[in-house]
Order: sequence, then C-alpha cells, then structure tokens
Amino acid sequence: MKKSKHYLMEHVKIWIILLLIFQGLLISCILFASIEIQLYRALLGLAIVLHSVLLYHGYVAIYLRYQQIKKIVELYNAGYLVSDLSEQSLNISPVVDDALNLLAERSDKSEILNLNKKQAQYLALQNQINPHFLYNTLESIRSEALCSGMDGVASMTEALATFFRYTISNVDHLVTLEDELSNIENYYIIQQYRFGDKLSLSVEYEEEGEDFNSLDLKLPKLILQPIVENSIYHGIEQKISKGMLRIIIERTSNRLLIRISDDGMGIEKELLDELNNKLITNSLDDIMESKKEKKGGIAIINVNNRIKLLFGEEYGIYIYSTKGVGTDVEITLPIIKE
Amino acid sequence: MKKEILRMEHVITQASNVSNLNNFNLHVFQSEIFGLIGVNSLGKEKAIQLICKNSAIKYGRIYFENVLVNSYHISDESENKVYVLDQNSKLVNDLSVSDNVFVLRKGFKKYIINKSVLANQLELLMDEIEVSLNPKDICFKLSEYERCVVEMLKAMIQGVKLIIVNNISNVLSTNELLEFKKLIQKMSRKGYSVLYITNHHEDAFSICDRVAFMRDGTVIKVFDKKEMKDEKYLPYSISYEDAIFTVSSEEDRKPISFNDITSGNLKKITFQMHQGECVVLYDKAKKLQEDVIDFLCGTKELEEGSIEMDHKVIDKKNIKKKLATQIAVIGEEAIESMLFYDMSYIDNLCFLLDRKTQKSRISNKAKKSIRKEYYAKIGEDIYAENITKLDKKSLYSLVYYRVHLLNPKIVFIVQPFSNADMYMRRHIASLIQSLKNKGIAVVILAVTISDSLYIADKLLLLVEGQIKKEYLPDQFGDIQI
Repeated sequence: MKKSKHYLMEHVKIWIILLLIFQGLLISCILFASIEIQLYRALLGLAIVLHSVLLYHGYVAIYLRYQQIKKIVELYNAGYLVSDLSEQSLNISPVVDDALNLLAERSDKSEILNLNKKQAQYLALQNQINPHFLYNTLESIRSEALCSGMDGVASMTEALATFFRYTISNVDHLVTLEDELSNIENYYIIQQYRFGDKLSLSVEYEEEGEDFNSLDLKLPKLILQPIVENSIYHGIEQKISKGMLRIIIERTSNRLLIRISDDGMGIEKELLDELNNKLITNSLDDIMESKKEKKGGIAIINVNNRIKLLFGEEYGIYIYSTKGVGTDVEITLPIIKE
Repeated sequence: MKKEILRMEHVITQASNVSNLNNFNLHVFQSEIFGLIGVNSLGKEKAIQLICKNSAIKYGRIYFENVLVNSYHISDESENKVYVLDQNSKLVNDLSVSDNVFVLRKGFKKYIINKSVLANQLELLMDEIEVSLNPKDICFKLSEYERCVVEMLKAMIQGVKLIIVNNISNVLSTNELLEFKKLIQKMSRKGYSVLYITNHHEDAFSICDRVAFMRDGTVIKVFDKKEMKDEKYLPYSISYEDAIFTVSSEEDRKPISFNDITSGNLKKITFQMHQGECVVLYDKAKKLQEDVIDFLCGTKELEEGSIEMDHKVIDKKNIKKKLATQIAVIGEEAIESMLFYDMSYIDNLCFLLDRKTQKSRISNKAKKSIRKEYYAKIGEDIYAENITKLDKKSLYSLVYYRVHLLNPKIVFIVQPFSNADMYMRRHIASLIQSLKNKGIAVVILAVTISDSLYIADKLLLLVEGQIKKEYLPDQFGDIQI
C-alpha cells in the first residue's frame, strides 16, 4: 500500500486543517483587538458569522459528499453490485466524470452476459449436439414406441424433445411466464419417470380479472428451470421421504415475484450466507468456475447475474434456506408486458 | 394485483449501538398483516428504526410505496408514513382521547380548539373501524386495549400506510388481544398494512397473511398462509428439553397450602402445591396479577386467608415479616426493574441477603464464598464490576440466581417470558427449573401460557377471581387459550 502522503486527498486534508488554524488565529487576533477597539467588535461578529458559514458549507458540500463517494467506491471495491461509478453522479470534476464514463463504455459487460447464456444452454450446447439431429432422433424413438404400444416411452420422449427444443433455441429471447411454466411442467414430466410419486409440483398464482394476466408477462428464457433443477438435485433427491416443489407467483405494479420453494435437504448456514453474498457481489470467478465443474448454486448465481445484467441491480434472486427443512428461492423481476 | 407498501432489499447496516441487519429482505403488501418473529432479537430494533426513518445503511435499498427512500447511495434521514404501536404508550396521559388523536399531531395549527367538533370527528373515525370510546375520557383511565385503540386512531389520522405492532400481546389480556386482533383485521381491510412483531408463532399464525422468521439480522423463512402449521414451525423453534433438567424428586417435599386467599379481585383462592413444584395461575383477563403483587409487596392488605407451609401459617398479621425471607417476587421485565446498574454483579446477587443473615452488610469473606459456589453456574460474569456491559442472558441469570441464593420457600414470577426471544425464553425456563430443583415452589402469574407449560406441574385457570379449573401436565393439551 502506498504511503498516505502520496494521495491528493491527504494533501487536501492538511491544507484544510492549516486554513482552519489560520482562520482561528485571525479570529483570535480580531478578538484581542476588539477588547480595546469598539469598531473591531462588529468585525469580530462578521468574522465569526463568515467562519461559521464557511464551516457549514465545507461540511455539507465537501465532507458529506466525500464520505458518500468514499462509501460507494468502497462498496464497489468490495465487489457489491452498486451501479457503475459513472452512473453515481460523483461529480468530482468534469474531467473525472468523462473518464469514468469512458471507463464504463469500455468495460465489457457482454462477456459476463455471454458466459451466463452459455451456461443456460446446458450440456446440450457444451457437448456440441446438433439440435435438429437430436429432435429427429427423439421423434423417431417416439414413433417406434407408439408403434410398439409403449405409450409411456412415447410420452417421455415427447416431453424430452419439447424440453430440448425450448432449452436450445433462442436463449437470449424474452418469453412469457406461461412458456416458462410449460417448460417446467415438461421438465417435471421427465423427472417424474425417475422420481415417480416422490416428487410433486404445484404452481400457484392469483387469477386476475384484469385485462392482463400474470402468465402473459415476459421474462428472460430459462430463469426458472435451472432453479427447479437445483431444488430437485440438491434438495429433494437426497431426501428419503416425498418432496414437494411449489412455484408461487405474485405480481405488483412494477415487480413480478416468483418463489420456488422445496421441502428438501436445505442448505448449511455458512454455504447459504456465502451464496447470498455472491448474489449481491459481482465476480467473474463463479461464472468461470461453472465451466470447469458442475457445482450446486452456480446455476442460481448465473441466473441472478443474467437478471441483474439485463434489468439492473434492483432485481435478482435471494435464497432462504434452513438445513433439513427446505429452501425458498425468491426471484424478483420487472414487469414486462411487451 | 398487489401493491407493495414496504420493500427492504439486501439491507446491511453497520450501526455501533444496536445489533445489525445482515442481507435483510422483506416486503409487505398493502392491506396485508405481515408477521415478524425473531428467533433471536438481533436486528429487530434496527429493522424497526429503518422502516420508520431513512438513516444511513451500508448496502441495500428500501422502498416505501414503490418509491426508493433509502439506499447505500442516499439516506436523507426523512421519516416514512409509519406508526409504531408498542408496549409503552405514546399518548399524553393527562389529555383526553380526542386531544391525543387530533391535537397532538404534525400539521395541527388551530389555536382555538372546538371540543365538540373534535368529538364528532372522532365518532366518525371510530365508526370507520367499528370501535367505541368516549372522546372526553382522560387517557390515564384507559385500559391497555383502549390505549391501543386510541393509538390506532391516531395512526389513521396521521395518514400512515404501515402500522408496526411491536410485541403487544404481553400487555393485553387474552380477551383484549382477541379484540385487538379483530381491530387489526378491520384496519387491514381498510387498506392499512400491519407489521405484526411478536415472539410467539401461535400469536402470529392466528392473524397474519404471511409470517417471516428472523435470526441474526436476516430473514430465514417466510411462511405463507398454507405453510402456517405447527409442524412446519417446529424446525425453526428451539427445544426446551435440554433446558429442563429435572432433579429426581424427593419423597419428602413438603406441601404448601394457599387457603381462601382474598385480596382485591382475588376471591377465596385455595390450592395446594409442593416444594419444588411450579404452578401457573392463568388469568385471561389480567385482573389478578396486580392484586397478587400488591398483597405480596405489602401495598395492599391481605383481606382474608393464609398460606401454610412447613407447619407455619402466614396470614395478614405476619405476612410482611415473612415476605422478607420466605416469599420472593420476580416482577415483569425483571432485568429492568430488579437490578441496580450502579452496583457490581456480586452486590446485586447478594442484595436482600442481609435479611436472611440478620447482618447489616455481607462480609467480603461471604461474598468470596458465594462467588466460589456460583462460579460454576454463572461463570466469569460473577466478577463483573459493571453490569451494564453484560448481555441480557447474563442479567436474567443474575435476577434468578439472586432468588436461588436467597432460597425462599415460594417465588412468585410475573410473566417471566414476556418480551424474550426464543433463546432467552429457553434460558429463563432453565433458570426457573434450577429454582425448582432447589426445592423452591414457583408460582407463575401468566396472561399467555405457551412457554410456562414446559415447566409447569399444574395450571390453574382463574376466572372472575376464582379458580375455575385445574389442569395437570397430561391435560395441558386440552387447555383452550
């Protein structure tokens, strides 16, 4: 760490202290003079008033603003998802503002966004599977199964084909909530072949008598499925008894709130704190890590990053969980109708 | 479509004087009764402060009526449209109901006050929430329930959007609480949002649309209406089993008889218990606590009856004399009312011991011996010179071990679990158990009973000053609260 005397702010502080000492001395001189000379008393009053105004102005315009800037920069340095420094109206000087704007333009958000999209395309893209080849093969299996009277295999293959078609195509598009929920139902059908009665799913939302239904609201594609998958693999799969998965949808005038709740194994407090902390801090490490190994929680972090990059830091994910009891993942999204 | 009245997102605070919030998330909708239960009390005070006033936070955002009012970027110290109804009255006791509601508020600029106009306006306001009070009543005459109603009216007239009801169940009787809950429901139907803070899940589940559990300054779970079941709550509660370590009961525990005790509202109370037993006197109407305490403290005379223990009779003639050594009282909010914060731990512990030893002061040698004996139970805190630095848990230990040291025959404890979070209630239960294990008979005067039942050997239901029914531990499940 550099010595503090190298910093401009340190010199400014010293200069202000010297200025205040000088002012104090000046007022003291006037005070002594005013004991003898009547005229100086008015001057003393004026000097005290001016000094007070100067101190107050310095406190509000310099000290408080400096503290504010310091706080934001400290949060930014600590990795918290504060808006870009250029958007914070730091107003240090026009040149510094221009420099920060330039820095913001040059910093490449798209890298993080692309990494998240890639993660959302799952193993299919990672393994370079040709989607059309996959659909055609699945359709062939379905036909064979229907011809052989194996309805179960046919419907499972159909669900798998539909799921892959949805997952692989146009990941960066916004879809309706209804589409996302249909994909979840498809995914649930596939998982039911594995889990049977052990897994149950319910989707709860308020029927609205208004002209616009919550299910028509738009959201980024593949926001829900990675979280549902996490709930099943890390929550319910390891549970001996039956597992219940609930998707609860609520809507306010400017937010869409989706809660995915499971009664699975839950998350250890330390890991939960770490995860929730990652959801409000900005790091490329977690995304890069996901390329190397498949690890619990990475999907949630990636979905959270996608939401924040697309809509801003006020939206995203928060996780409530208790070990042995279950996990609730709360997703906050903006209301998008068109 | 719902409207959010309050939204707190990822709030992290760094205050030095209170416990902080750590990634705290909460949203309350309009017309919603939202419960908040602290598994421990850490962060609760800070949350209330931040909901009321937009003071500086380290990180996060707070929205009030969908407007960003506080964030890591801007905290302007402004106040939100929130009213906090807590155990301490915010009314001016010497003024009338209408004066309190209308005159004492921001923006009231009239110099000449027309009482009848105010009374008429108050009637209209009361009609809105279907309550009835005399506008001219002076506030110090009001019951706790009526005080709460007046404060609710005050909140309405101030135009608040959110009312925080902070642990009110401790000051209201069971019947009053039921009435008050009905009032809250009426208010919520009128569009007011209520943040109902309590320490008991039964209290919150009965009225709230959603309930959040909070621990160490973080919300750990939000229950919706479908999840509000006792079995769902169990994993978030703490077991009392470890705290209640029963020492094998001695065969020769002597009986203690209360015969025809009559004083104030108490009418010929007769029951029997044994040393080392705990009896809960459950009075839904909360009328009798004061009477019991008054005659025990000597401020009111025991009109009739006697307490018989160890073949000795304590009646109105000798009760004052026996009170010093044989009967002890632990009042409500004990750590606030029973400790001397300018005295050291050991001096507090030995307080009143002089009555037992018949000596004006306790010698240093005796104190040293007491320290040695109680070190195993209390730990290093016993050497504390300044008890203001001790935590609540240690202060509760001090109050109860003082009684333990004094070793009376009976101890009366008034609402021991009020205002205590889950961990503290467990600790208090273990302290009461240690009194029982020493052979001290414990009488708990309770308005709410849920925690008392873990340590009770008998519950007596009092109605209109008389014992209506007696419950033994195997019948505790049948009690209709």
